[in-house]
Amino acid sequence: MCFPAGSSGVCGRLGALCCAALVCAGSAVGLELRVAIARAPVLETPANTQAAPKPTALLADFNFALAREICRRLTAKCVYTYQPFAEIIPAIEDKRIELGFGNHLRTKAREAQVAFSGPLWYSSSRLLSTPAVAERFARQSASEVTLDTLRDVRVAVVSASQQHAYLRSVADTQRLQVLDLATARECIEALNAEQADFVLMYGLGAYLELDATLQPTPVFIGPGIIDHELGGSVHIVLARDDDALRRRVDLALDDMRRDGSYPRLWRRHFPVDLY
Amino acid sequence: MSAWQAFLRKHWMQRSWPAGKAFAWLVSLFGLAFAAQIFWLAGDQRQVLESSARLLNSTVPSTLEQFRLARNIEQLRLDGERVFSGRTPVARQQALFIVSLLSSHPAMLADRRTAALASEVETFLVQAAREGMSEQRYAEWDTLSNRLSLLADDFSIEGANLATDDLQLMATIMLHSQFKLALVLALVAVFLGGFLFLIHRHLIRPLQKMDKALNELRSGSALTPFSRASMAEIRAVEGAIGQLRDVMHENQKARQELHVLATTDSLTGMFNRRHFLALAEEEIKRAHRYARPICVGMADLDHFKDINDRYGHAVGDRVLQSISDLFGHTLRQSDWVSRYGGEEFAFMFTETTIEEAHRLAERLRQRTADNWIDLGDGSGLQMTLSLGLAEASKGSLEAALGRADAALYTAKKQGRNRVVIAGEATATPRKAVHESSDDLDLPVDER
Repeated sequence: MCFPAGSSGVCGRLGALCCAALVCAGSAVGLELRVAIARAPVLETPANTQAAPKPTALLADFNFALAREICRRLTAKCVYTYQPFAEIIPAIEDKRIELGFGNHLRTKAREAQVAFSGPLWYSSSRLLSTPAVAERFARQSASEVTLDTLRDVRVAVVSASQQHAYLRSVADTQRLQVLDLATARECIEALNAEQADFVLMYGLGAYLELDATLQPTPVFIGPGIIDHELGGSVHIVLARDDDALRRRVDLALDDMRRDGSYPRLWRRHFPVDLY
Repeated sequence: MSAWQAFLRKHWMQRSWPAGKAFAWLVSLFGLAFAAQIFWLAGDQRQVLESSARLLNSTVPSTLEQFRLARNIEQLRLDGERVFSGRTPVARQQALFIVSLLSSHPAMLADRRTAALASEVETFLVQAAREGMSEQRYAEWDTLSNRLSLLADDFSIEGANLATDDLQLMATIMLHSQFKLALVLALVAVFLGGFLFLIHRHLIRPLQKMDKALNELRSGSALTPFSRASMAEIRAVEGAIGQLRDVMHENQKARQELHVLATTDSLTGMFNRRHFLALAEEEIKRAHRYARPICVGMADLDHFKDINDRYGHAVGDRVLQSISDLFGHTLRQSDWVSRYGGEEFAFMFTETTIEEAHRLAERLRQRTADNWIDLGDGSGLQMTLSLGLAEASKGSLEAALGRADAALYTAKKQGRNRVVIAGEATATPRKAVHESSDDLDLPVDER
């Protein structure tokens, strides 16, 4: 309310205060982020509501929920898109997105491409096979079947993943035939269709893709693998030159851990504690 | 006294210290000791800060990891139970998946014991699920399950111990700091006490002595000698006070000499005329104020000019000195006499009536006449004295002296060697005076 005469000072001050408040509000929501989440092929463009998760989409749903919570804590206006895992790091490098939620392991090769947030959870890789193949290889091998002892076999792997990179590096040495597939689901299907003898993928992804009702059910072969950068901490990826954003994301993650919202979010999606 | 005590006395106790330098040394010593203590405490503080930082950044996260690992091991055990107890094959398979997922967790793999046990558990459960459950397998699982529980307990205890160790270390450091702080406070108290003691001993007490000495100087009493102060400045002030005392003593002596010179006649030691008049003026005022009797007198040695002319001025001076001594012995302490000029003397008899003054004057005249003045060469002579008395209870001093002088003139005129009271026609008969002089309270003639 403005007063007509002799009150221009009050009006002016009120106006200045309103402008300052608007500027502050504008700066508070001034951060705009494009967020990419590793795509599950069955999903459409994510809605801004909590959808009922399908078993195989739990990880994507978790990442989406996590991305929304971080955006809320950053008071950022975020635009979410699903993208194939292989496209997230190039999109970060090309500045087409600012944040990537693709369950990326921290490796030296990736450190040259992108920056990493603080660790989200911890992962290892495992070999999967059908019981019949596993039994056959167990009979052939004097010792336990591991990734290092595999020879002359077909191994399915998710394209552009760390498992893919490693298998390609040892494929010639160990005479491995690497099946380069788009998703974990395709890898499991290739195993069930006997197009692959083994699948190499991260443990949580394998757990989420396995269907206990299928017969024969694929089984895990050998111990969990954390060597050769096939295991370790999983991170959000972001541009290397955006250190301020990385710090803010880390602070948001720390806050989530401190106030318990991160463990609750994890528990809402997964039955075991891997963070 | 031992040698070291002598050495200490010579080189330490008798040595004077500049106050500024001494206090600077003391303050520096205190500052150094205090700073050392502070650094000592700062070391503890740094340790506490490091421990708390380690607790926050390393121990607490490690403890949480241990607890989380213990929880995962426990969950591995529970899902192993579900593999056995699952109602459907799907439920059992689902539990087996979780067992596989948990046993491949990086935290499990990072610890050798856990990794081996988790792998053993997974292999056992996969085999059991594939080959079927039996009592024997369940017994084996019971053993594995117990091992998992024990391992989980171990990690829980280790996690708690991690935090406990750091907290105990911090508590120990804080306890040490408490002792050190008490030591610092004790040091401060000792220094402050010592400082106050030194200030009292070497500053306040010497100042009190100086104050006492200055009071003694003011009152004119004898100055108490100073003990040797340790502070050079105090010692200098004490020396200055001693010098001041000497100067004041000399000044007082000179003032007294000047006073004697100004008030007495140098030849006879009697009051001089000016001083006599000043004193007599005051005394007459007092007598008038309180209506007390008072008399004045004038006296003159008879034929004194002839003595000077015949024997010389030295004999004349000797005569005057002899007469002065005689007056001193004959007059009362309350009577005043002055050499008024030449061989002329003035008297004042306080608290004395004219009759009493007359008897006193007659006694004086008689003793003068009887006085044999030894001239030192075996010869001698006798002098006579003429006196004039006047009542001074009324009127001015000048008028009283004038009347006494007139009476003296009359005495001279009547033949000398007699006493005449102003206002009376004739001199008092000599014999009568002699008879009545015993009534006076006169000093004994020592001759």
